[in-house]
Formats: sequence, structure tokens, C-alpha cells
Amino acid sequence: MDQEQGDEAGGDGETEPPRDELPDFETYAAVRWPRLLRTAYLLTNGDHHEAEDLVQVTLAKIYLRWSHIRTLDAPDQYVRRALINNNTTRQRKRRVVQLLTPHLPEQRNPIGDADRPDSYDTRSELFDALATLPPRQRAIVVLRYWECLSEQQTAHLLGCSVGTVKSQASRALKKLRSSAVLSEYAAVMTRGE
Amino acid sequence: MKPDLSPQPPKPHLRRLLDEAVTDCVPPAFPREGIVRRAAAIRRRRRLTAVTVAALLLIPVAGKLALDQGAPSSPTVSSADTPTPVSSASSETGDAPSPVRVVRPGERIDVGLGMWYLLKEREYCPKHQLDPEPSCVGPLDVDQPGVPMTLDWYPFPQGVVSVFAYTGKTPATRITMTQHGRTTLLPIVRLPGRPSFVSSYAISTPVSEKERKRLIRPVDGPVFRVYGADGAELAEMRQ
Repeated sequence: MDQEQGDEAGGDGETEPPRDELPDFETYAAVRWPRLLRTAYLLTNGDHHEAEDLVQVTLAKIYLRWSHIRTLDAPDQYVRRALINNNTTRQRKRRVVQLLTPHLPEQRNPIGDADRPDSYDTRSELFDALATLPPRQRAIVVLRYWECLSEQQTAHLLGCSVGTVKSQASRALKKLRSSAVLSEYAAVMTRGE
Repeated sequence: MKPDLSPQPPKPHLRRLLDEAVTDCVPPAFPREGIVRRAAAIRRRRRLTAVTVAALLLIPVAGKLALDQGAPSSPTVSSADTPTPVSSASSETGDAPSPVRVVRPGERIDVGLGMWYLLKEREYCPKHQLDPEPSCVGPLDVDQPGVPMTLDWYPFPQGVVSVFAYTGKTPATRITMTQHGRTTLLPIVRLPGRPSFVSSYAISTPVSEKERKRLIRPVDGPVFRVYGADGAELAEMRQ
């Protein structure tokens, strides 16, 4: 049900958006673009190209149903849901992931500033840790702890129960805590405060 | 259970970490043209998919319609549509006449369960799967003594196929099969210009394995009756 709504935005009752709706959609999408891109960036484990592609596809589907979506009370929620569902679909369809890079990834600096972990390392490890999460758990982490949605909002957006959100969030945090740099970072930041 | 205190971030450290992580992500200019182009591509793809699915669904239907229209390809005139094989499960009928199919000599008449037969001037020739060629029964004549009916039956696990011919002086207009108290209307298949030499076929309920293997005449086999235009019974034969 939810998958259908978000992923196949534009599936049922798809009509050609009137030309005069394009400026309206453009205004909406241009304002939301940076935020959506950052959300997608977290959902795609820091892959900028993948994130941009994901948001573009999502907005293209939204554009096809804009005449309906613009009348909704909470179009943002619909768009977020479409983004998450599209990401899930992409992950499901992808069979082989190939990351071609001309450089070897930089090693973590073992003699860096002990009090302040290197931000590159931290980000890198954060994305590594996020990559270990299943798409749904990752979406819950992003929605709850970055978008700051409530458990009810997250549950409504993902089309699941609040209990599911709680349990999935708990499991996701448990996994993230097992990442060394995240534990260190949390400890350092707590000391700094 | 702790109440949810959102929008206060429940894990400030994680929030800070995620915030730092997305600082790398510098959004490029809003790709208006790219989005509109992709929307058009998605729309095209969906329409193509819809058309393909519709075509795939309609091709068998259209083919069946074309076959149905092409089926009475016999140059002779038929007074009714091609009758379908009638089984014992068919509904009971009143006094309605049997549907008539007029065929050319040698034209194949499908019965079901792999059986078919053909009509010749004075013969009917059932063809079993195991037989290399149709085995003809005849010559049949209106002057033959006894019951003017000749019947062949072939037991299969799915049912018993009966193929029979009526050669009476009075033309038959209605043929029925009665089994277990149920009467089923059967089709009439005949040659052009030969109303007194008619054939028919039916599939009745299966017989027991013993009866089938030994080709024993079934105890409660169907009874076939032939009626004339005035409703009078012209002939009766038990399987």
C-alpha cells in the first residue's frame, strides 16, 4: 500500500500536468531540493551521484502527479515517503554494486588529534556504519535522528506501527554503537560538553 | 515506556554526527530540465508498458475470436453454431432441438479427450489416440434391421467418450443422453443433404477402473435417445 503510494507516484490516474502547473511545481521542488538531496545523501550512504539521481527520479514522479499532490494537506510527507520508497526499490533492484575509484581510500590517521577525531574519518565510518543497516532501519535513523520526526510521524510516513519504529530504531542504534568511531565520537563530544 | 519528546532530537550526538556528514553534500543548482525530461521518459515508459500489457492480454482474445469466426469454414450451410462437446455435467434442457452442425465428408469432428471422428457417405469413423487411422463403422443404411443406431464407446480415466450414428427413416431433430437421472442435449452432426443419417457424440462420467480395463459395459451407463420433429422417440440405445 505504502510502497505503491510513494514508489509509484504517478501510477494511478496519471495525467499530463497542465503547463501552468510547472511553475508551481518548480517553486515547490526548488525550495525542497537541498533538503531532499541531503536526506537522499544519508539514505544512499554518502553517494552524491546516487542521491542526486534518486531525488531527480522522485521529483519526476511527483511532477507527474503534481495536480493531485498539490491538493494534499501534507505534500512534504508524500514526497518524503516517495523518496524512501524509491530508494528501497532501487536497492532491491540493484544486484551488483560497483564502485570505481581512481584512488585508494585514505586510511584513518592513527596519530591524529585524540580529542577531536578527524571529521573525514568520522563521516567515512558513519556511512560505513549506516551501510550495514537494512534500508528500512536506515530510513528510520534518518527520519528520527536527522529529520527529527516523532515516532508517530515516522511510523505514519513509513506505513508501519509505532512499535515497529521503536524496535527498528533500537536495533539500528545498537548496530551503530558497535562502530568504534561513533562510540569514540559520542564519548568525546560528551566530554567536550 | 518513555513518552516521545519529539521534535527534540532524541540522540543529539547522532544528530550532530549526521549533520556533519551532510556538510559534504553541496546541492547543485535545481535541475529543472532534467526532472521534466525524466518525467517525460517515465510517462513514455509507463504508456509503453500499459500498451504492451494490453496487447499481450488482447492477442489471445483476438485470436480466439478470429478462430471462432473462422471455424464454420465449411462451404455448406449450417443451421446452428458449432456445437461444443457436451458432457454429463451440462445443464438439463427442455424440448429444445439439438444444435446441428453440417460437415463435409471427411471433415474432422473433435469430440474431446483426444478423440475425433469423421463422416463418410455411409460410415462414421472414430479415431482413437492409439489407432493409426480412423476405424470406420458401416455401411449404414436406413433399411438396416433392428435399432437404427450404432454406437462406439471409449473409456478414459476422465470420462467415457461415445460416438454414435442414427440411420432411421424419420429424420432426427433432437438427441439426448440420460445418466443418473439427468438428461443432456447432444449436438447433431450430419452431412449436407442427409437428414436421416446423423451422428452425435458425448462424454459421460468415468467408469470404474475394472470396467475401463476390461472394457465391461458400465452398469449405470448413459442412455441415448433420438427424437423426431414431432417429439416422438425414434430410437433408444444404452451404452
